[in-house]
Amino acid sequence: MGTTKDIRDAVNAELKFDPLVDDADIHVVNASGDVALNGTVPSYPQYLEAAAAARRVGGVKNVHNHLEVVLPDADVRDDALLTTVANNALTLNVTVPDGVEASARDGNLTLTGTVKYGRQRQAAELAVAGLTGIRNIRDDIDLSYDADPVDVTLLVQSALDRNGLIADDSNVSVDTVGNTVTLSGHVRTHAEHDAVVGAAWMAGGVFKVRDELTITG
Amino acid sequence: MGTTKDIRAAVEAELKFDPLVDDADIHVVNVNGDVALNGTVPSYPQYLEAAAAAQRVGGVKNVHNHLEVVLSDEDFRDDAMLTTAANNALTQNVTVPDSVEATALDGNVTLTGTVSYGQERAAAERAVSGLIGLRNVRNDIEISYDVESPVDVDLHVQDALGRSALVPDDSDVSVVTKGGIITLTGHVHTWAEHDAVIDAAWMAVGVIDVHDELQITG
Repeated sequence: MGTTKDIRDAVNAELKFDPLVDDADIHVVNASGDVALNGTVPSYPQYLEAAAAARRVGGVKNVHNHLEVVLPDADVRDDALLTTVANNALTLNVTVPDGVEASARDGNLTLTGTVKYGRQRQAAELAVAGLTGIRNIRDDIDLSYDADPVDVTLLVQSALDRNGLIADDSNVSVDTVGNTVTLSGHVRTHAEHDAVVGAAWMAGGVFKVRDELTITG
Repeated sequence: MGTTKDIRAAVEAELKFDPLVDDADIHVVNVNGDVALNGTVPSYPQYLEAAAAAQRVGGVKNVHNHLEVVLSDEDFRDDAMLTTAANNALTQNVTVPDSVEATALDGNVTLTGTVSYGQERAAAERAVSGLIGLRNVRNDIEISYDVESPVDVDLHVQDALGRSALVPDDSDVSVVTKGGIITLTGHVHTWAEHDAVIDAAWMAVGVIDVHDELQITG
């Protein structure tokens, strides 16, 4: 994955290879591992999957997802219907706490409510992300945790030590101020990046994760 | 992650740390990185997440998920209701092809139908896996591809592995295809690398099954 052109070719090949992405109108720009995706895709899951495909590729340090979801006519749902379907999906999901609600406007879904953990917020997004008619999701779910966060730095650092993806000589550092965890240092891949950020979100009382990790690619 | 006791303790710590898992009735057994999860969890997403948590831990080579889903009374749904909810979830999901259907029996949902790609089959499973009242999913969806004989499947998968950030340049993973069935052999370091290889194989056109003979070195 030496040169700029190699990375763009590899991202193009990965988008073509991935059966869940229609790459017909995706244009890839690469500047030293900073990859931008421009153009359109026909669904929100494709929007997410295109970025995931680019992140899988070796040498990709950042993905700027500028794709726009342009729904085919058959997939357009009016806002009342989409709001109902989304709220049903949230209510029927065992991982999503009560109190999370969805409202659709022009195909864009906004999630509101209060949950305890960042992972529950993510579960709410996952519960609605595949619905036909969604163009984008705005996640405004608040986090609230009764107790003051205790030992968050220690808990997250222990989780990183346990993780099979994170090298023993990793220089990732975890710093907690109030309810905010700041992550800094170097990771080799997006998968390692996601493992570190995922670990930080699991700790009780974490409301915000500031991601200052550098992906070496 | 040197000794057997370390790995068990690390898996237990990971299960306790993961807010999406209630570890109260999970018992971990470890034999040289072969980890078994025994006991019960209160939902199917917890069943999946407990195994994922164990797989994140360094030194874990295999996870045998023997957990049983024991639903709380208020999460119980009768089969007619669960069947309806599951079929609605499939119909409303843009990634799941039309023909896929669900039937519930005693909280166990069976998926049937025909799709073109393994990834669509996985999407169908994801679309229903969070439903309240679900105890397990049996995925009987078949894969059928129109093209007579898919060409260069090995090559396409090998290329994908070559692009992957998670698969090292000196990887000894080998890809052999026969009649739409891919067999993967060789060594991977982590579960994340394992999953990257398996996912790449399932993405190729015309693949109807993937035989996983990969060894995780841990």
